[in-house]
Amino acid sequence: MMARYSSLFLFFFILWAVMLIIAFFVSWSRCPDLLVIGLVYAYFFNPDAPVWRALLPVSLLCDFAGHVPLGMHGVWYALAALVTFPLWRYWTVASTFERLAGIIGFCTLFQVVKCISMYIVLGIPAPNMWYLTIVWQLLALPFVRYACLHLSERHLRGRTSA
Amino acid sequence: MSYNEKLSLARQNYAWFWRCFLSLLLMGVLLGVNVSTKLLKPLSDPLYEHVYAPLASVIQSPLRLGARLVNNLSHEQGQADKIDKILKENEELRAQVLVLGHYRAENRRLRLLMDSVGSVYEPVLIAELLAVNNEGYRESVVINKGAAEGVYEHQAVIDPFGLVGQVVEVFPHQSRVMLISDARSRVPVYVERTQQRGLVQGTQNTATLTLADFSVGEDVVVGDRLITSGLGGVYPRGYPVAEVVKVNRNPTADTLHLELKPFAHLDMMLEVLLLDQRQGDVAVPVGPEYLPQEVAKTPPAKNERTEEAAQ
Repeated sequence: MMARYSSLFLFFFILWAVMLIIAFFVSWSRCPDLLVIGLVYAYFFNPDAPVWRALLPVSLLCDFAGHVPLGMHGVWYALAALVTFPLWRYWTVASTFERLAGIIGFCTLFQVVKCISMYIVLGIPAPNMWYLTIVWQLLALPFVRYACLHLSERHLRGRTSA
Repeated sequence: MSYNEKLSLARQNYAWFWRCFLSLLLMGVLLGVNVSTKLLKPLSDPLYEHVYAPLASVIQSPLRLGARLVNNLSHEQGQADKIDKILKENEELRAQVLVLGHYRAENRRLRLLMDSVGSVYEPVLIAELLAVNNEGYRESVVINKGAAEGVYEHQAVIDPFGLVGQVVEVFPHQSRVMLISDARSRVPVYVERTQQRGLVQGTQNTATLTLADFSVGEDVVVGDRLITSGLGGVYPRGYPVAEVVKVNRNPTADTLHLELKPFAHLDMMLEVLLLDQRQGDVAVPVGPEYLPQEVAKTPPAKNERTEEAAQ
């Protein structure tokens, strides 16, 4: 259990580090949110994995990096999980096109909710070209998926489902 | 237990739901407490200082090094010219410093006469930039000085060319500075030529400023300099803020729209100066015996305005 937690924590931490590297070139709010994709994939590949215990500490690092109050990223990720986790059984039987459409819809919805909640809670409007984040997120998808698949096979001891 | 069995068990128990719900609740409470109070600051400051800051520094240091190398290589050609220019400027500044004491004393006397003694001198603290966050709406920088070095919230920050912004968040050894180009920033200023007061504000575009509360008939022209007025108490009086680069006179609107260019090099600065206004006025010695010898020997400069008035 501890090894699975460590692996997952390391996985999320690396995703955060990659986001921080991207944030060196563009602002944090325009970075693709790799962690949310990692979270959904980690759960879909292995629903028994201790994703929250590994993700919540990393989400605090995201709060610091994004200059937002502590807990903001955690709320976003928990909301994303509440929407996507119940869809696991559909995910396993969905076609590739349906999966792609689902991911595009999910990424768009996530960014919209993120921007709206930033405005409601902090009064900060969405940055210019905020919608490009969705495109970056989709481009990053294969890499996160590969990393998650690798992690799942090597460390989480779960069978792949996607 | 096989994978499918584990999954069905998890689904039956709604384990995922309760975990998500508890996470949402926990993070929601954390967010609510952080937004509305500062109760968790003693917890978040050490986290930032001892966990986030070192990690971010290690992860981004190769990038910073690379950016600096690229910057050095691209500017190597102009380095010699730059040094010559700086040396000349340094000579000019040294000459100006010689008479600075005289002007300071004169300024003090005049302020006393006008019964409006303001702060004429603030001690400064030099800080280096650690990180930049320019989103357009939110524009801030992180500097390497914090509460341990005496930095406090709402402390005014300048660079050698003009006003930079104010400190909005203080950590033990780092601070976050909101730039004047942040859309939430407001700087009370006056036009140097006409003394008309106004409020400079940031825009959603990076490193640009505007002033929107002047009426259409106001006397403002391109090239006018805007100086901090000292109103509000955050920014001390007399620091250059911006220059008018465009005046939009729309006859159908009630107010002028001014486009401004900040004097501070917000995009290029690497160090900033923090003004410490907590100590109040620093008593400046007044009298000819305190003047620099070079100034004392030279005859006093004639006051052109007085002469013109006399004529």
